[in-house]
Amino acid sequence: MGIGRLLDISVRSMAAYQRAMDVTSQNISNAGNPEYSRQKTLFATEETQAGIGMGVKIQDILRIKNDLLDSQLRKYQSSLADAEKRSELLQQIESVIAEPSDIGLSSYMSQFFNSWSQLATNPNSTQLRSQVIQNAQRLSERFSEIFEGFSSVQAVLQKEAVLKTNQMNEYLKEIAELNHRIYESEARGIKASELKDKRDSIIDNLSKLANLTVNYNEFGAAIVNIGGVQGADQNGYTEFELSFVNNKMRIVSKTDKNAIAILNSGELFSATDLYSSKIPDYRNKLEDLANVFVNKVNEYHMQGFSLVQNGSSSTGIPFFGTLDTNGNVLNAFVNGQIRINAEVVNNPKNISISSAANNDGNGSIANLIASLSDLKLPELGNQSLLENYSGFLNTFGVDKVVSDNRIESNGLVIQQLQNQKASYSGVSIDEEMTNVIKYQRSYEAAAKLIKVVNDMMETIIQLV
Amino acid sequence: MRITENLLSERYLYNQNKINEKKLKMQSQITNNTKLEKLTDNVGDSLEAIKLDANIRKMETFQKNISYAKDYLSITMDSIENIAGETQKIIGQLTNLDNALNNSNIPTVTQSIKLSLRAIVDSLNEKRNDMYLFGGTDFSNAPWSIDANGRAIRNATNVTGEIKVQITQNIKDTINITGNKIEGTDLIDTLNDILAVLEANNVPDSNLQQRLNNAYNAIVNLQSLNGEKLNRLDDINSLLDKQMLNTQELLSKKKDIDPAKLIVDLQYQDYVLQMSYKLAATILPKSLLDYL
Repeated sequence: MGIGRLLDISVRSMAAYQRAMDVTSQNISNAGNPEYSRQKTLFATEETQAGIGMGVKIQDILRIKNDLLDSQLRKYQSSLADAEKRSELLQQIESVIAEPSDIGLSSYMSQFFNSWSQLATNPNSTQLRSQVIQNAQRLSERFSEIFEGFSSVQAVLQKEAVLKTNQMNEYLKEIAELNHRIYESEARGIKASELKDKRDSIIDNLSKLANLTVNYNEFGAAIVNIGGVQGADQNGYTEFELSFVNNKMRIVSKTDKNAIAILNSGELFSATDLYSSKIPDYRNKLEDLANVFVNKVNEYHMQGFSLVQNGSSSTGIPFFGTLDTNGNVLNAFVNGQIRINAEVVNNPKNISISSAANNDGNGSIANLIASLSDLKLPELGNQSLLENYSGFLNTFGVDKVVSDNRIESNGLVIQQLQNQKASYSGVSIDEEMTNVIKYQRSYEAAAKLIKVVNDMMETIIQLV
Repeated sequence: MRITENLLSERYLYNQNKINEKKLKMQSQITNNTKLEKLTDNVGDSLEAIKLDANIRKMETFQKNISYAKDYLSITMDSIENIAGETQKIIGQLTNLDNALNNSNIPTVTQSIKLSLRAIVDSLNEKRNDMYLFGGTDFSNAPWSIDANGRAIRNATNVTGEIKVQITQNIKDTINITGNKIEGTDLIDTLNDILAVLEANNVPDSNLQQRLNNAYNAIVNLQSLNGEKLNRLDDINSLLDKQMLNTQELLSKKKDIDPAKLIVDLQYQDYVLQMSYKLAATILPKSLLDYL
């Protein structure tokens, strides 16, 4: 064996450890970067020549990544983003509902019915009649505020859905571009670890918007599917837009409106689901309640007689809405607004609570209307108005609590998964510093070997 | 398991955030003195609180109704007392006329009884908040009046209507003495008959006087029934007071905070937070770097 081979081994060794130090320094400098996947230098023994070892070589620089962990993390992140957005929006509705409090619908409903009970004690009292009207107005305003609250949250949701869809398109575009660059880079034999990290980070962000699946093809391109519709590959990406299909907000492909993303998590899911399903459901429940409330009060009120005016009392006056020429009540509850009959508002004497004509002291109808608060109504599935409203609150409350609990549970799972990811793919300064020492020592040893070889050469030269 | 810097800092921040969330919630509860700031703080308790609150408001209304009913009954009581007083006065005057020596007083007594009858009619036409106490539910006209001959007559109004007031969930009570009940005492007709006899310069016979005694007893009976009703309303009011107290206690259990417990919990969380800061300050900056 020639002395020169010793030099070759040493130089190769120094180069290998210098490259390893590069990798370590890259790791150390990215220790605080959560998107970064640590890289690991894989050393291998150089192939022997005639049974003689040729030193060390770097076989590969590995990007330490666990795809299963990533896919799990994205799944839970998507679910968490859905729960967080849902909870945030439901909280807006919750503050409009304002229960339990003195300004909640239940409180105004109680005050409304109690004012009828009080009116029955003194049926011809103008003050008590005005009190009934005032309480009806407050209740009506409260209903309107809640319905307006639903509408304004829906308007916010629509705007957000448009913004998020545009954001999703941006992400998909970037993924497609990165796919292309990764392909080009790796085809030239250059590792594209940093580009892959960047792409992973974008896919992570994308998973917060919608449920997705990611598969990798033979060119290393990430094939991203959004709710079953292909979103991006190495050749391009699909642009999505907001569309209304059967009155429901949907995310569809711009070029193929029939390609509807079937969402089940992510912020876009919470926006579309709340807009198209949950809020209409809440609205319907409250509208049913308001309709029954208005109709029942009118049913009793129209049986009653007003105070005697110009020598006689009147009957058939609705408390809410107005009468058309055929005697039908119109506009009692329109577009979330309960409208009190102007005849009643302008003249409280028209509040009709007497069960007999020309009987100002008779408050039987007022007692009947007051009793409506506890009456089990077949129209509401044998529930009272308050019970039905409580049912609505319960449905709403459970939806919000489920979202809050999902935030908690998904947060915990994500914390665990992120720990695992950080443990697997993250940089440990201690570990890297140990490597630094190890590689430095090895580098020094190789350098020392050159010095020894040099000495040996000197010895040989002196022999000559 | 590899422990990396990111793992340490992520876990530290996660825990820190959790502690701060708890602290914020407790601080907010202490400031607002309620556990139920919003529906989803506890859906079950919130719904229960709404129900209890509705019950309390209803009981408050019943108590207002009772208070109004008691006022109404007290004024009715005063009127009946006046009627009974005038009737008693008439009975006394008629008893005096039984003595033949007093026959010369018949015109004076007649005049006096006419005045008493007028006073009785005035009492029968007494109003409370524009409502005739004994006029049923028809307030279009006074139920009684005095005609040109000084006789009491019933006007053409329906005096049978009852004013019913809700005083508990299941009880609606009548608070007025209807005109037909007054008519049922036969007082007015008896007094009219007595006046007719007196104007004929005769002394009412014992039958007529007995009718007057019976009418007086019937009036006193109405007075006592009214008194019983007042007592009953007092009893119901006391019952409502107790129910209200219980309901308020239940509501308080659902809604109100235990300040002492919350403050101790808050202090504990603060302590945990400080510990966490201290630990983080010890662990986070340390690495092999510090020893190289």
